[in-house]
Amino acid sequence: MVSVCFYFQVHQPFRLRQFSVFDIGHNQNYFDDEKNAQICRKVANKCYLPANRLMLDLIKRTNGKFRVSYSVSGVALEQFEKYCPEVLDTFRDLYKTGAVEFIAETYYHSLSYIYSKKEFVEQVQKHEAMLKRLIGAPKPTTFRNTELIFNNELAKFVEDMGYTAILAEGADHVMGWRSPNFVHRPATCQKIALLLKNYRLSDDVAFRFSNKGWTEWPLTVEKYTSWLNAYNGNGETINLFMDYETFGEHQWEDTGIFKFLEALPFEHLKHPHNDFLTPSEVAKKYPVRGELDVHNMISWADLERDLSAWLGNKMQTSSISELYAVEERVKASKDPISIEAWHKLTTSDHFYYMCTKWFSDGDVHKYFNPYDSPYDSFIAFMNVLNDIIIRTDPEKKKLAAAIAKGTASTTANAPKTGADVHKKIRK
Amino acid sequence: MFGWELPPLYAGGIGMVCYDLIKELSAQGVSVTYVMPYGPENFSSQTSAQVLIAEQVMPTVKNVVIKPVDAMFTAYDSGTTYSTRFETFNSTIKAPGKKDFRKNLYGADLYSEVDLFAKRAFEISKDVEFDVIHAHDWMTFPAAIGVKVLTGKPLVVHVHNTIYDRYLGNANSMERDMEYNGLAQADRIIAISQYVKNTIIAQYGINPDKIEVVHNAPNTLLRDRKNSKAYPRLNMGDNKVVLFTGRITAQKGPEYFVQMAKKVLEKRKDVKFIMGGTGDMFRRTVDLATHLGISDKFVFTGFYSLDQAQSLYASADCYVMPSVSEPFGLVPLEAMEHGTPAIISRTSGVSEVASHTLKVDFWDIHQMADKVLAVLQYPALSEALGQNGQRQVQAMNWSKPAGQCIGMYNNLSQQYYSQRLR
Repeated sequence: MVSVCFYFQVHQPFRLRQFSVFDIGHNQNYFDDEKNAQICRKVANKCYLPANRLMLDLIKRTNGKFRVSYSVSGVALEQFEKYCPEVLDTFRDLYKTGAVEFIAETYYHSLSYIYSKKEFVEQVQKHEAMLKRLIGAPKPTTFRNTELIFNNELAKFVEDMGYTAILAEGADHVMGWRSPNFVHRPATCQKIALLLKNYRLSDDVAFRFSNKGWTEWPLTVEKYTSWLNAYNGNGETINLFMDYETFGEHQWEDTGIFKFLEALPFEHLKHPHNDFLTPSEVAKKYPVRGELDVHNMISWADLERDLSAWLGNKMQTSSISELYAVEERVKASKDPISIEAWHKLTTSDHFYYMCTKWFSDGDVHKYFNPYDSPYDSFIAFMNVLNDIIIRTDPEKKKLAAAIAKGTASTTANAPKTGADVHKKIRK
Repeated sequence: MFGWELPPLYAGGIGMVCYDLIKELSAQGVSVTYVMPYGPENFSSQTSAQVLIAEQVMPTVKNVVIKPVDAMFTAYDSGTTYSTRFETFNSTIKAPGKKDFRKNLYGADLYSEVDLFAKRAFEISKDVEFDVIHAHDWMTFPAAIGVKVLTGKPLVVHVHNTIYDRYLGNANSMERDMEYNGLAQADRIIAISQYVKNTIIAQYGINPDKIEVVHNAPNTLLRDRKNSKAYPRLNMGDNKVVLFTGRITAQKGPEYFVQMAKKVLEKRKDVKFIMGGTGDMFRRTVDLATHLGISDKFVFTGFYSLDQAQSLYASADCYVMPSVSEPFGLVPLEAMEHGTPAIISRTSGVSEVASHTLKVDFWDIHQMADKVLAVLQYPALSEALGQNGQRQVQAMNWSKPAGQCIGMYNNLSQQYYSQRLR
């Protein structure tokens, strides 16, 4: 008997314009709305819409035996609402099937847990409210932190918030001899269930699927399900956690990824004892088989499975420290635009773009970034942050008062709704 | 190989590149006969340093034979600079006796001199055993073509710049023809960057498959000089220092540097701008700084020695290369070797290999100023660029480019000999 637990990450950041030092104090056009809209629509057409429709179809045809879970970031939901609301319709339909679980996370897909517990809690609550409003899903019982960043302390904090299940990466260096195919309990916790990603089987689909140089290429459904079945008697839940963009963006349609996904449930369910479960169902069904002690932060990023993708160099660490150093004063300023922009700056992607790990000649093709270089992304980020810092200067009471009254030019010109952004784009 | 003055003669990048290339080629087992122009003994001019006897050059590198040819042109000559030198020469040498042999020594203008060089070089090469001809830049092309026609051996033409860089396109049609002939007659072409390769394809209609890109590496002599001792930072007070070095000529974009300085100074006053070098736009550049009211923030060094260059790099907080059209651009690499963050023009060959730099469009003053200000303001940024840039440049060397040349030589001579055997 082998249960497969699918979890898909859905996320799009609000990318910054190449905001220059000469823009500081003159405008608050921080975000590249045109580019964000364009990317959102493109990924919606290549991935979100076809994949969601396929999932709906599979759930119907298997009578709800095929079950999956999603973690959709607040900023992604916000962009769907603004730029492609059809995607929200499909997520609503998915929720209504009763076979889909929505997972809790930070609204802004941020590293706030590490820098400000207060901000972390605020973001989780805001995410919960957004989920309810746009999809109709109730308060989640399962939690996953940004990019599966996890350690004992975080698990305890999340347990205290009332969650009954939490997701993490089954990283070799913490697993040792342990298997990710059983439910564990974090060392510091009493009640919460820990589900660990089986990274080999997850990455077979998410990364290796179309790689013709892979010894197992082509990956047929029969072959893959035989690997899943091999864990019978040796595992209870196989946790396949991946980026939803696997379906159509990272793996293009012509690789056959949709056909693979379409055939998978039926092949897996051929064995009568096999099933698909959501994370909370896994936590209910299977007992905790062992304790896992994770002292240092792990994540699902890169080979290192640690924080180096976001905090590995000085540009990253200095910019994030400066960001959180002004949390209090930004929030105290009561300037809605600056506050919202500050929140959006907490999104982990901004720091990811500043990573210099692979940025040398020859490796550039591996590197995807809306800016020309990690250095340019740092400059844009710092210029935006400095503009916010200047605007929220507690000394500058006159400016703050003007902003609050709505007489300063910035609030008058800023687009207030998605419709305004559409108008701007169409001009 | 047909090339240019080698160090310690210093006429520009091409000579340095030839030096490093033949040193590495010989290290990898290739024998080089190097035919180069050199002027009359002890003759010096405004633009080139003291001439030395060819045999004194490269005494320790084996497998390299230098064959100097009596010729007066230098690597970066234009018609006017050559004529000026020719006039100076004629006026300083006194005709000793009744016969005036001056007329037969050197060509009256640059193109005649190129022609004469071709004839003289051609004579020399009749006595040499070789497999491949390798010619650097247009002035050596006629000579190289002559040798190819005589011997039938394969010809590799190495393009360091084209008229489209030298004159930004407005060139004498004779120069263009000579350049074109070299490209057409060559069996293979080496371009020092994708940027140069694109120019060759677009402007001369050459088949892309004929052209291979071989990127230059930093100069080893300068690297040794830099490592030989510590260079003191110049005293600029509490000011930050932004540096430009190179010929002050249109191609290098000096006016953009000055305009960028004006914008930077709008945001902060504690910055000094150093421009090292001279050139035909020197006067105009100084005037522009004065006209913009920022000449008190500028330091113009004029001509500087190689040692002084090291001090300049050591003093800079930021290096800017705003070139309009730069076939490669070794200078930013020298700055980066000192750990100095570099901002370079996108229309340059070096931007293809130096990824740990900031890139700008040379005409976008705002963007350039924005990036300079960011480098000066954020230590995390300048440290990251400085350290990563330094590491990247230190890893560059001549073994890969030499290897590419050798691969090409082997390929061509194989084809050549297999054809002969049929």
